[in-house]
Amino acid sequence: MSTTPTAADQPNNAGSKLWRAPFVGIATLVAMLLSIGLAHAVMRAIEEALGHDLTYVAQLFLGAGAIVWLWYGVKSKSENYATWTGFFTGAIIWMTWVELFFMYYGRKNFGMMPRMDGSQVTSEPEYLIMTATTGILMFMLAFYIFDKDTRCNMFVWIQKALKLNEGLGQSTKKASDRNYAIITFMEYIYVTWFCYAWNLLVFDPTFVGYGEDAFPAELASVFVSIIWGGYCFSRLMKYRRTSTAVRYGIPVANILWISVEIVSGWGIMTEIWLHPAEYWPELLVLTAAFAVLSALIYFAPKKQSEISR
Amino acid sequence: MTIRPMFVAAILAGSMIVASDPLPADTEVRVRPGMMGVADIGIQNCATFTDMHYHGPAGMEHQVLTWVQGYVFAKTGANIDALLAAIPGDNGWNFDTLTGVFVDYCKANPDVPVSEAAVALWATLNEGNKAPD
Repeated sequence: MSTTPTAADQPNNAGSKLWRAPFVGIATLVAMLLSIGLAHAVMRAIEEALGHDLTYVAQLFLGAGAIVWLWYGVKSKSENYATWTGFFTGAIIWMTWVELFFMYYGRKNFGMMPRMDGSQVTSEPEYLIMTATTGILMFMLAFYIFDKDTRCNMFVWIQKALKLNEGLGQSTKKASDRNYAIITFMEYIYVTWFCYAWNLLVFDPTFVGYGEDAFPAELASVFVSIIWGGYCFSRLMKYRRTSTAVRYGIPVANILWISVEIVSGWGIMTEIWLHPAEYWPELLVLTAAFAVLSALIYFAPKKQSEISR
Repeated sequence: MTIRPMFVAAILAGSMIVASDPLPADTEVRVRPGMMGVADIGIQNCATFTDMHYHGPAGMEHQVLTWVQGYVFAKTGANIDALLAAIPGDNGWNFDTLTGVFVDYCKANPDVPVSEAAVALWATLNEGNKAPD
């Protein structure tokens, strides 16, 4: 999780007209938003290509492969490489060891059924299990709030608001002590988990009712998502250091994605990423765009501190 | 921009969520809000069954088999095990083949109620047929 950049922390890219504020932030947000949609598409494509039973087996190995990749990221001295490794491995672990594990237990092992609204499936078994993890999510939130080495802007702000600075003391870690692969990895998973829980609670008829009864809660959620995400995006647009921007872009995109999920539920837009077989040309173009944009960000001019510790 | 207006907005939004009323009383039989599945599998049409089966195969098979036990008992005064025991030899009927009749029937007939699939299964069992391959 990222901190606000300082002047000393800015890359030596004064000659570049592209890699400066606000373009770094904009490019990063677009890449992160694309990554969320494409991650959905990849999961669906694997499910459809392999079938559920084979997917449950394959996900074990895909996840294990991600951990090996993460190991390389943790060993790396390059903040740039470590950040991107944490991002991709976090995404893979979330899709495999989290979502597909829940899917295996919900759909097959436990024999759960989907939640229905009339004849419509509204929540699959894996998401019913995921909703039940909200308590675990919240106690981990307490850990991040009360950990003096947490550098995320929001947690730092909460620590300040709770007047914890004196009690916690100064962080024991310098920038060079921080391992950005595992930080980004945990950030990706935690932020995704948090936003899923938020979404799932807004879709839970126990709390908000069905159909039109749920509409006020959905509207409120979209409102908070756009205001919160928009505020964070306004900060992201000041970033010039790409590694920091990627780490900050992950929560910004996920918070804004809450609105995408809800608006899709209203039927205003089609979630093409949930139907990869039907919309494969569109998704192929989006994948290519994501790959090119990510490569541009990865190879953008860097300050020395981003490529070696 | 200060953080205070956002904080107030978040509190207001949270209040809206808490204040939203629970589901009003329904006239149809439904499971409680939040629960999975449906209250009466027999009144669902086969398209809904197939969709639900895709998202929760083991659970749907369990529910439909439990439900059809009641149907068979009403017809014969005995359970399915007793009915299967009357079919000689290795008849191939088990959890998967019994529920497979529902799955296949509903895929082929999406517009009919699930109860029609139960009738089809009953007809097969009552004729003493072995499980389909």
